[in-house]
Amino acid sequence: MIDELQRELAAAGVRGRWARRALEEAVDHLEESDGDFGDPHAIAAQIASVVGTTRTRRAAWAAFAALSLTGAAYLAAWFLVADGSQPDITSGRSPAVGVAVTLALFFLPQVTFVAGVLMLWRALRVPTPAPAAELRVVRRRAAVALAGALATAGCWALYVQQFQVAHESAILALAGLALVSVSAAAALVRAAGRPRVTPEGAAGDVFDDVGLPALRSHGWSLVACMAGAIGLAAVAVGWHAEGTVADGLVRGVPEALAVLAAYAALGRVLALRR
Amino acid sequence: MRADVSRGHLDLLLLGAVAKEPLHGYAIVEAIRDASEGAFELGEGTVYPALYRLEAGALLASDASTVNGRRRRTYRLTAKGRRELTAQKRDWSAFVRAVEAVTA
Repeated sequence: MIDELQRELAAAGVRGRWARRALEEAVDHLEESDGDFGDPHAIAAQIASVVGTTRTRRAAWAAFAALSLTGAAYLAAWFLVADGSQPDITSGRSPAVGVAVTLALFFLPQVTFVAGVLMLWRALRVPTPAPAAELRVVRRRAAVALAGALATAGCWALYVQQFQVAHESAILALAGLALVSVSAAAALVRAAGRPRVTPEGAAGDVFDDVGLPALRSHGWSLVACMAGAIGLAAVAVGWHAEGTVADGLVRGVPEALAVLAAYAALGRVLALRR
Repeated sequence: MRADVSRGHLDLLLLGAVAKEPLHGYAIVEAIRDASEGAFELGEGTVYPALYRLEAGALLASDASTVNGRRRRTYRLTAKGRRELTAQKRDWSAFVRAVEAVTA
């Protein structure tokens, strides 16, 4: 019975501490009882579903912590850059790479932020055990958020290589810190997908997350409004900072287009739409 | 009693079983069977995934010890679990009263 349960647990992707615990309790139970324990396959499947949900939720918290650390490192890096003479976007060793890296440092954190918030939101909302499809959404959102953070850290290294900035070593150290924390969280997210979770159910989308399924049919309209609002805010900031409407538009229009492009490219991956 | 009836109220039964004192897995199965005079026969091993789920929700906590050379895990109710038990008992009483009112 114990050997069979061990095999079933391994087949269901439950290994390590959880498997040891289940087997220890099974041994104790069988010693106390008249030898009846139940179907090892069914029990292993139920344990895998609980473990898979618990691990995914914990991995989401770990990912959110790593993303928060990366966010703090990101802000600190900009403060360090601002401490010296801030380089012009076209003054990189290779102007094309310099522009691309600078734009990436503006847009990637936004994708990371949105994916990270949605990841945690879903992770807190799902029951235990959760349907496998819902947990896949949590892990996909985590993967996008962590990939964005990883790319941001890489962009900082490129930025330092491209531009003459103050505090180079400190910025690289911050990027390294982000890299390590994000990599550790990514390993946890990957491991959380191993237990075979069996409950079936729909993956749902962001409208299920916020409890407004009636708005699902207006997805593109809502994103267009959001892109417009974010673009206008960026225009206002650019106008205020540089003094002309044209400078504001240079910031606002690409920002609005980026929101629409991100929705088109990542909408299904992040379960923003079906 | 039909299995699906006890399964539908498994959380209430498990929380209620450990409300008086911490118990290990088999003792919980026995406590429920004895208290219900055999009405609730939980599928032995299937009680553990439910206990893990309640622990993941912080309704139960567990401690490991060694008894007769075997590792044993004992489950106890947390403060959150006690609040949940009170709420579930209240809901259950309201449900029973409503059914009795309809079927009387």
